[in-house]
Amino acid sequence: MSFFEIKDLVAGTEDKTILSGFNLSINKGEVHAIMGPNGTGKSTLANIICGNPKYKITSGKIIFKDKDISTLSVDERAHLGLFLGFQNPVEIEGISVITFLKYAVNAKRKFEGKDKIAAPDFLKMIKVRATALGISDEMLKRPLNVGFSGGEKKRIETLQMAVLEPDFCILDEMDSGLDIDALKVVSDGVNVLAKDKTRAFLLITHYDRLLTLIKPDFVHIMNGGKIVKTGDENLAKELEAKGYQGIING
Amino acid sequence: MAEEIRIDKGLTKTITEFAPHHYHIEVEKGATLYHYRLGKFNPKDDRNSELIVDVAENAKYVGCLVLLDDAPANLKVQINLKGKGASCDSDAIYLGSGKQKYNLALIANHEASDTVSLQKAKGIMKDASSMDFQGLINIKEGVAKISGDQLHEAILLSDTAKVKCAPELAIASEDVKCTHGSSIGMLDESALFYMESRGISKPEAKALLLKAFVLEILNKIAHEKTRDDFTAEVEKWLTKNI
Repeated sequence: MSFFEIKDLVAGTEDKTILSGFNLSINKGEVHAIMGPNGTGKSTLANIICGNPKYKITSGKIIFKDKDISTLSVDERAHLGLFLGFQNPVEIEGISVITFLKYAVNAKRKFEGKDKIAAPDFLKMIKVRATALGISDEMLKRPLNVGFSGGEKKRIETLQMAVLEPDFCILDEMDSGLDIDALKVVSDGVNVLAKDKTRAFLLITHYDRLLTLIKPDFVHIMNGGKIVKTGDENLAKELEAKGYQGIING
Repeated sequence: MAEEIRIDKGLTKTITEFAPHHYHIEVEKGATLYHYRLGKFNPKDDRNSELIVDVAENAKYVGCLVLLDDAPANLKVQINLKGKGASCDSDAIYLGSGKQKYNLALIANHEASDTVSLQKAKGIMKDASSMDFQGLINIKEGVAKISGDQLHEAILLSDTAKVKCAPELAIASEDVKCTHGSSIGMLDESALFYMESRGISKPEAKALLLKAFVLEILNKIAHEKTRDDFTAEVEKWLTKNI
């Protein structure tokens, strides 16, 4: 059995089916990329995997670590090792980045039966990872994502991933709103986690550019709520040359 | 009968109290009053509170009123900016559960030029609690260089909780910069999903979001002990009610 598997998934909002018989299988240590035209259901897929209550599953299964997670709550899925790097992370006034991180770390520790993390240990853990991502102390004290640039938001998403060390990371358009330098920093953050091959990654992107920085094992083209073509990294290059319609129709 | 309080010329004073009464306060020329009030009442107490503050030239009134159920039902905060350069920064937090009913009026009267008013109210209401909120910025004819801002935000935690809001501007002068706004809604579902996706349970995420919502006001309390005491009372309410 795969580390992560989606079987015949039909899902969408109350009044619209968005995923229509979606299948995907990912093994530990693999990096998969999903590409596809706007409105084809890529972000919906990421949200459904993580349990966003906005969406309903009509039929099919989502298996992670041998468990059907489709009925689990959002936080239970997170504790199992699922992580979503949001395309547009929400802005939360009144909670600083560092406070939010502490809540998340302690929620994980509670689930693992551990005591709350001691303040010095927590600060040390954050400091090392934040420095690697070019995140300043001042930024950690600011309200979560409030007034952050696109690049800053993605750095904070990557920091959360680095701190929580999830087993399966879905990164939804992490390259949107990033300049080349910021993309390099964030990609390095992902590559550090991907290096030891104990995790799996699902990258949702529009551009080949990201996939030159994070090398995928598989590239899938999604259209009309399902995967219509699968290949290796060359498929992304082919896509750059031919466009979606060229690939989907050809 | 309203209690009379005077803050003498040039003085800075902090008053913290745990049961708002009727007051008439005069903040004299160049004086500053920090006035923090938390509504906690015995059932037999008078459940009304009217506060009238006269703010003289270059004087300032800074107020924070926190209402936690069992608070007086009818409250009025009227700030009269009487002297040139007078200002006020007056906040309110109201939290209601059960059948708690509030009437709250926040009024800023600009009676002199170069006056500034800032008023902000935030509420969290659950069960069948209700709030009737009135906000008024009143600017007298013939005064100039006025700045008045009033903001009201409420979160409803149940279908049966009610907040009625009537923000009003009465402007009889031209050299004026005024804003007012009001929003009433439920907890932000996308923020809840975001927090839960990081492993924070739904009840904890809700409590954290609601705390963040009111902390914006509580964090402004300059007196440390008061800030800690009021924050602790608000947290107690949130723990009990979320």
